[in-house]
Amino acid sequence: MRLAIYFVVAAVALFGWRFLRDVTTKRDTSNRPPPWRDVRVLAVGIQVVAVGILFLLGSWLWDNFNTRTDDIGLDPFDFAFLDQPSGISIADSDLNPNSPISSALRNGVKNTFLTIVVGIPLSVLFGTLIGISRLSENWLLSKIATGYVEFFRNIPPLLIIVFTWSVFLTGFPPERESWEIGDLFIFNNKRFAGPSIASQENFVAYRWLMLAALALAAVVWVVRTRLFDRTGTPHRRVLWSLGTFVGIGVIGYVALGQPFRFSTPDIVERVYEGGVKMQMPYAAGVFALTLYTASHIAEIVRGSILSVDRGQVEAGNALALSGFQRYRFVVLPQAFRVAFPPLINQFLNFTKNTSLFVAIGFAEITSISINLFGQSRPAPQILFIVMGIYLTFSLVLSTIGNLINGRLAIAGR
Amino acid sequence: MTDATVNADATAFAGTGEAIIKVENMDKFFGDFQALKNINMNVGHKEVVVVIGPSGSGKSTLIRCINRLEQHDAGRIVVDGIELSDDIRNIQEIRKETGMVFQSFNLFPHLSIIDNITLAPRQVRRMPKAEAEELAMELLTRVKIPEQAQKFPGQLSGGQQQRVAIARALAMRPKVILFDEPTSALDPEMIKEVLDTMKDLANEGMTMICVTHEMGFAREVADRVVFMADGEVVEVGTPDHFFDNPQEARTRLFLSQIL
Amino acid sequence: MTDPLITATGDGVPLVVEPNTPPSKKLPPGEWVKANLFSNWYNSLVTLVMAVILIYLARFLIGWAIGVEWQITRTNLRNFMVGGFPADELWRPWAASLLIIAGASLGFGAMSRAEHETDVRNGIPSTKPTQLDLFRRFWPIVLLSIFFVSFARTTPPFIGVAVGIVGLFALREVGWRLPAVIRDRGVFVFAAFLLAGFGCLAGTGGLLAIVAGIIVAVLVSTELGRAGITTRAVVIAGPIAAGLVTYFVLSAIGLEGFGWDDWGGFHITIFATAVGIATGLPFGILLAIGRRSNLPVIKTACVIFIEFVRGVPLITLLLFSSFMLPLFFPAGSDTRSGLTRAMILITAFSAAYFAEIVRGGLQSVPKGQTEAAQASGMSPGAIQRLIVMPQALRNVIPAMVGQAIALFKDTSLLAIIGIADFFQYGEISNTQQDFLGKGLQPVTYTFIALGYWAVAYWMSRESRRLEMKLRVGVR
Repeated sequence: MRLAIYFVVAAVALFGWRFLRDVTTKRDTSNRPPPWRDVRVLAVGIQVVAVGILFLLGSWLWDNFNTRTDDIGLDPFDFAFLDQPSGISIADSDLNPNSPISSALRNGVKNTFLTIVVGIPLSVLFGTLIGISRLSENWLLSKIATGYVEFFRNIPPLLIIVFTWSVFLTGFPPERESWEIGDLFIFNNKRFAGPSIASQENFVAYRWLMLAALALAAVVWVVRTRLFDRTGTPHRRVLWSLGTFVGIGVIGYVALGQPFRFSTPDIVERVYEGGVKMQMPYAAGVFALTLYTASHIAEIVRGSILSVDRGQVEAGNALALSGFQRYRFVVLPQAFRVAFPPLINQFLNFTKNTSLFVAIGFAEITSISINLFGQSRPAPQILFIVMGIYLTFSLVLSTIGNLINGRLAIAGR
Repeated sequence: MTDATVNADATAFAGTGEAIIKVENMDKFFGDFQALKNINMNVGHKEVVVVIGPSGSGKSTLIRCINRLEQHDAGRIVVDGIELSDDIRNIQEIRKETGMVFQSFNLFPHLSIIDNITLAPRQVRRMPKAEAEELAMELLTRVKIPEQAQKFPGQLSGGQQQRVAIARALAMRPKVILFDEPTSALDPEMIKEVLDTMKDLANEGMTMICVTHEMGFAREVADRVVFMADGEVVEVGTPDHFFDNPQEARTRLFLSQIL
Repeated sequence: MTDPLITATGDGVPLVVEPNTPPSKKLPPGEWVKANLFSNWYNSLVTLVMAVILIYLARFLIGWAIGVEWQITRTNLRNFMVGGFPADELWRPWAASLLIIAGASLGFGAMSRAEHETDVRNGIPSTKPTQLDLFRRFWPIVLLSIFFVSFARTTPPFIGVAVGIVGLFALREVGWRLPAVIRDRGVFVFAAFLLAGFGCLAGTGGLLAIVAGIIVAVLVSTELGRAGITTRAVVIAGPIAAGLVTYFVLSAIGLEGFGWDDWGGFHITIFATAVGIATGLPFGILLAIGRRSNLPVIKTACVIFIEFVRGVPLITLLLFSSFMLPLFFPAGSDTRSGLTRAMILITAFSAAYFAEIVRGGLQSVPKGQTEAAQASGMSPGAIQRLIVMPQALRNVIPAMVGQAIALFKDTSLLAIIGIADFFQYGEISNTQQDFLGKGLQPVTYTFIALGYWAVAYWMSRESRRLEMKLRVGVR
């Protein structure tokens, strides 16, 4: 039945299209070749066949899927289960087994996001450092950096993650015997904790003040740049802007009567108080993935700097630019354009690789979904949601990347 | 037609017998831009037609339409009695009968010189390998580089590459060869060797359409010169008529700029 | 600009041929040290700090390696290598590996001889590679085999590894000396050995029959091409006959073997990588062609598939294979094999990544190439096969090796859906009674890391070598 409909549709499409074309073109149609030799008909024909095959395959799979899900009494379009209790508890969250599945998933997204926002900047920072070290004229430093890159690039990230986790697990003491560095840091094989800022009175006002300070610093930046453009006096805009910002910060701190204080972590009766804390798997995972991603970013940084034509440096020399000026205005802007697209690719890889944290039990979105499968929650819908979330992450990142890349592109290249 | 000039007619041809290429009322659009406007042109057997004109005038598009590298939008093109239509068989037939030489050589870099030449005869004409290689060597001798047969295109100079490209076009034993600015990508000292090869071909009686900027070649070899501007054929004539006594203002302007 | 995809590393940065460093090695040691380590005060400081860190790290690592309990790897060596492969059938993987090594080194010798002769013909200076050159290229693999076998408790593995290493070096020599008639067909020598290797393992006779058929098809058509004859009937009938013969011979002599669900360990890691490449590449090429098609329907379908697969992590695809794939087959279908299901998704995964690489290669082939071929009347199929694809693939060989390395590393994810691969045994061995709760994960994972590292590092060196060669090669 379906087959018949498909053929009718195909035939109508094919001949309807030919008819339309003959009517709309000015061409003489008396000399038509037979359809199986007509390039235009062939082009449509191939597509119709391709669509047909895809359609048949798709409908076969879809039929099977519907029958099989019916057999096991599963409605793949029923998303009501999201409101049922999840049956899993998630560390360091206010979720318990009775919280709905939707909040568990949301918590997973939050945790994935937390790994990305911390891990990607760290990877870039560390990777750049290693990449530049490889270019160092210091033989030892460049060899160590090379060794680092060759080592970490050629090991599965999953292995690095699990290895780091197992080292943290066996290397750090249990909670009762936590290592404490001063009063500032606490390390044990469950959690790491460090100092943070705790709000006091007037903190809201202080936050607004600092926002204003940021705006003012930007204004100072622009003013100094304009001054430089007009008169040629060195702008020193970094110094000026930073000075403005820090100055206002200090004055505000005093004027508003100490709107915040530093809070140090402490374990009282197995409960962490004050400071910021993170789970050991989170720290291990982000640390390991940073090591791995940094080895790739280092290669990108190194390759992009080397890709700048030697003639560019020579041209800079010929214009009497200083070493710093040469790098700042000639080499780095060009290197950055080369490095940018593969960097975005690495960010995407980092995002996808956070799914490996499932192996060390950090509650990001993939491990939440696997836990839910363990509770016999419907796999199709959950997998659909999880894949959708990753696709969204990928799409957002690559869209931002493409936008920036488009603006970076050099005309005429 | 927005332009004041009436499109010149290039249907009268020199040479013998029936016209081998007939172009009738042909239009070509790139989107909304009309690249060719109502072209009428015939080419006779053993005739050498040189097409000249400013860049963007549609010369290359014209000859690329003749072997369907571009698709014409209206009018008729008939090559050796075969109409160029949407018929895939006709397209293949016409391509077998017309060789083409490109500005940028377009030799296949992954194949040796001899394989470059034998590829199409063996694949399209189903010629046995030994025969194809014999033919290739004969053609390489004709373009005066038989010793390069085993090398790869990257190892040859531009002039040598273009001569190989001519040999490759000849290997299909075409009735017509289309030259698309064959010397524009060459260093000055290599232009002569390619032009000499082309002159030899013309003297041997090959039917040729050449898009070129080489006015000396046009004057010496062409049976007819076709001048194109803005997608139209502006003026047609013998080289003597064309260079010494051009009729159209646009032709005179063009000649004054390049000569 | 260079297409960012065409690189060995997969990092998307063009490989940079570093400018020839001044002949620093010719400096006397004292001056060399001064120039490269202590040229000014901050360089000296960096050198000192790095040296201290390095010495400390080395001492720590050596101390750890000596002090730690390696018994766990010794007990589990067979598990790490072949998982639960039945002990009395172990000759199969041994025979397979040795045959594959033999074929590879014969083919390798023949290929380097052919390269050598081409170079000589084209007047490029070239000498025969020495055994030392060979060691320089293969040391990660050789050392890895020695490292692995050093944990063995019985003699046969030592003999096997010794035979393998000696064979690698000796048969390359034989391959170099093969008569030209055989040498020109080096690919088939390699293929025959590969086939014999798989024959010993004989995962499934049917699969093997297909492989045999393909090899014969290529062989027959090349030979016919050489002789200047092309008969379609033979080219089609040959492989079918070869497939049938292989199948029946295998059934008759009882080499059917057993399915890959009994395999495990390093063996399965290598196998999954090989299958992922072998099945992913053809589909990837098709997807890439589809994506560049000017037929909108086909193009859209390919784009959606590629972007979807590349947009989600491999784990989610593997979860799909274990939780959802069976639902897409009619009730009663045999979908029990977790590895088969996983391999279907791994094929899709590697196809999508290969597709993007091949697309980069296709973009690197100038449009004039197609036009020149069209102008001489070649059919679209022949143009793709003879003109566009050879150039496109050649341009992206390094990137494809990069993808192969990535896939090799990615197969570790099979462990997450419960397939007992090399990586999985790092955990499994720690759950055995003798080692439970001893916290020996760092030991097992170090062992595994070295296994992955040596293979991946070797492949990346080879790909860099290839990239250099293609760059300076005849183009």
